Formats: sequence, structure tokens, C-alpha cells
Amino acid sequence: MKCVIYMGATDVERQKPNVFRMRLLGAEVVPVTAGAGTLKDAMNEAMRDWVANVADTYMLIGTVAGPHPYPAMVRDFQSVIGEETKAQMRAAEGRLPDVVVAAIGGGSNAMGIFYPFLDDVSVRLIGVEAAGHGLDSGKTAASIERGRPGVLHGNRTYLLQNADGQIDEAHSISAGLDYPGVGPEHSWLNDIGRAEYVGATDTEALDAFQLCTRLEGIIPALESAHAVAYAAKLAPTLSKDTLLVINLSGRGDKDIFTVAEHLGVTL
Amino acid sequence: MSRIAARFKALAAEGRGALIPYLEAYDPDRATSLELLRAMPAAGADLIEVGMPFSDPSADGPVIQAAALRGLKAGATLVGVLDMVAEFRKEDDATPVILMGYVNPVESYGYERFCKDAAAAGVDGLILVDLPPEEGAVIAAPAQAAGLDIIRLVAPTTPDARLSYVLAHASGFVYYVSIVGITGTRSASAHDLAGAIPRIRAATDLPLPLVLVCARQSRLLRPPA
Repeated sequence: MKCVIYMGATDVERQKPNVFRMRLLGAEVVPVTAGAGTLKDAMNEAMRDWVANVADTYMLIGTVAGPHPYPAMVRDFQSVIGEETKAQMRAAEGRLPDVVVAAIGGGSNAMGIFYPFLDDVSVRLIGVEAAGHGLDSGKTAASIERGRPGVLHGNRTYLLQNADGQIDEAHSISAGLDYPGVGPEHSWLNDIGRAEYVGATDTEALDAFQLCTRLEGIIPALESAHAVAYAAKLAPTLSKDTLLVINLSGRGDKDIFTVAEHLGVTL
Repeated sequence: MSRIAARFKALAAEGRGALIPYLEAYDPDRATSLELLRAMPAAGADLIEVGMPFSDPSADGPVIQAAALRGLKAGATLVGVLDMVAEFRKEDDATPVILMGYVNPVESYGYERFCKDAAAAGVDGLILVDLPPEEGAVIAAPAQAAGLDIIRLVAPTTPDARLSYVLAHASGFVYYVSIVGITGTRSASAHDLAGAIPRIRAATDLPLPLVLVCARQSRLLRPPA
């Protein structure tokens, strides 16, 4: 079966190792140069391909956004993360975690780990958006914290947009978080107050990336490093017996080139 | 009678199809696009579709994507687009103008206010590509109150059951996409249309213009009756 992947040209560049892996596996990776060449533009292009080839093509969306039923489908698949977390925490500690922290771009890993805990109201759920250069810098991907409701890609959700309803380009050091929208279920969890949404900047994520690598010997994805960054800020304010889970949703091998560049290291 | 209904009635009496060109507002700038808009009726346009530039035209091909981007760079806003139509209306009170675009800028403007302002500017109908009829309640009442038609899209892939549902929420005319795909990529063949038109025709009495792509020269077809 033929597999075509639309990826923003900017992301093809900063996710080179992933692109190479996909090509090794036989996928055709098409760089999208429209707009800023990131996730939102790739999403537009994939939808264009799909509407033209709907008779023989299945569209796969990697996040909990897009037209129904994608947000629900992707959530259900990703919810194995939360189910496993729950089972493992019960086995290891005999109780539920107190806090769950996950990074959010479109929000699939966060939705996956949050979902099985939604009815366990004792569990604090915290989504960490990419604040980019800072929440108020204008260069951010924090759609819930700095966006307002709108319609894009077939869903109504918080969007980074200007006063005229034109969608803004998002900014994050992390390609996976660089999206001006967010899964609609996160918008809902925010509005009903079931989950909290906060931000971590590019710099905080870079610091956390290095911290986690040195202390744990685990290189986290730059996406996940946003969750690590916030957890590291939050942990000292909690009591010693608090059970805090960080969702390390991806590995950072793919990000070492980006990180090296930001640290001024030539590989 | 609305301008759209009047125009289609007149065309039917003349026994000819409608020519409905598309123009992206503010492409390449406001003055030029207004000039083009003004020149269209004399050049043969029976109705005119004016594109409202949007940052993410996900149903459009490369030509309209680029046009929208140029329009936005030239400063297009909905206020500006409505103002253009109002200027056009000073000279032409007969040619129907249909605004075509995506829903988010309209939502941002406010549905009720937008319908009121659009009607006041002389707009006759709206095509909001990414507002399916299931979500159409947001605009149905304000559009009706303002006397604006909501033109609905149907495609070769629209099944019969869906066709009647979509058409139940349509007014003005029916926008038959005629190909499976995005704008400006290819045209349906006469053979495709000969099969498709009777199916849609059976489901609605609304006028049924077809979307065609003009490459180098105009390829105007008379739609089969």
C-alpha cells in the first residue's frame, strides 16, 4: 500500500532523522512549502489530497484534531497510554497518581494519558503548551492560553488567530507542538476546568531536555521536554509523597541536531 | 425577487446558461480587484463570485491559494471586501454578487452582524466552504433575515440521501463541484456531467451551474437541460 506523508518543509528540515526513517520504511514524504511550512500547512495539503482521492485513499491524522471522528478515534487509540499508566501505578504504588503532566501541540499524547483519568477527579491533569519565545511574545504555540475559539480543519477549538479570524503561524522550537490549534476535547476540558493548561518556553524545554538526559539517562523528545520543564517547576511545591507522572511521549534522538544548533554546538 | 432569482429567471427566458466568474478580492490589491470586478458584467459575467481571502484555503488548489495569500498581503479584511462590493453596487444594481470563503473569518466578525453588513453592501449570497449543513444553524436565520442566499456545495461523491439533506438547506442556486477534488485542478468531462446532472436535477429545482476550470482559453459549455 502506498503511503504519502505531507510534512511542512520547515519540519522536514528540523525532523531530518524522522524523515529518513519514514523514507527507509517506504513512505513518500512530500515537503509542503505553503504558509510557514509547518504542521497546519501540511494538514491543509493532506486534506486537499484526500478530497481529490477519497475513493481509494485513507487519511490518517496523527493528532486529536481535525474533522469528526478523528479527534475521538485518535484519542481512543492513544488512550492505551493512560490505561497502562493507571495499571502500572496501581501495581507499583497501590493507588492512582496525584498529578499527570503531558505536553500539548494538537494534544494526542496528552489526551491519551488524560482520558482514562477523566472520571478520577482526584487526579490533577496538566497540559503543557509550547509558549515558544514566551506566552506574550507573539511567537508561541499556546492555543488554549493565547487563542480564542474558532473553526479550522473541520473542528471548533481554541485557535491562534488575528482579530479578522485569519489563522496565525504558531511558533515552537519543537516541530510536534508547532500548531495554531489544539484538539477540541482539550478545549472542552479547559472550559469545564477538568484539566489545567500551562506553558513552557523554548528555553525552558531546552533546559529540561538536558536535565532529563543528565539525571535520568533518557533523552526526551523536545515535545516531551515541555512537560518535564513544567513538572520540574511544579514538583518542589508538592509534598514528598505526591505521585507525579510525566508523559515522555517521544524520544529525543530525532532532536539532537536542533538542540545542538541552539546550544551552539557543531556536530 | 432576489437578484439571483431574477438573473436566473432572465437567463432561462433567454435560454442560456449563466457565466459565473470567480475573483479573489484584493488580489493583487484593492484597486485592481475592484476594477476587475467592475469590468466583469460588461465582459459577460451573469453572476460574480468574490473570494474572501483566508489564511488556510484547504479546499482550494494552488491558483486560489496564491490569490488568497496575495489578497491578505494586500490587506484584505471582511470589512474591506464588503466595502468593495458596496462600491461595485453604486454602478451595478443587477449583477448578483456571491461571497465565497471559509467560515472562521465570518465567525470572528459575528454571523448576525456579517449578514446584515453583507446585505447592506449589496451581497446576494454566501458560500462558506467549510460550514457543513449540520453546523449551518449559526448562519441560517441571520442570512434569511438579511435576505441572503446560502449556496450549498454538492459533489459527485455526495450520496443521494445526503443530497436531499444538503439541498434542504440550500437556496439561491446549487454549487455543483463537478469533480472530486480541489478548485482549479481539472474539469469534469461532458460524459461525467451527462451522468451527474440528471441526478442533481431530480433532487432540486434550484439553478445548477457547474464548476469548470478555464485554462488558457475559456471553455464555456452550455449545461444540458
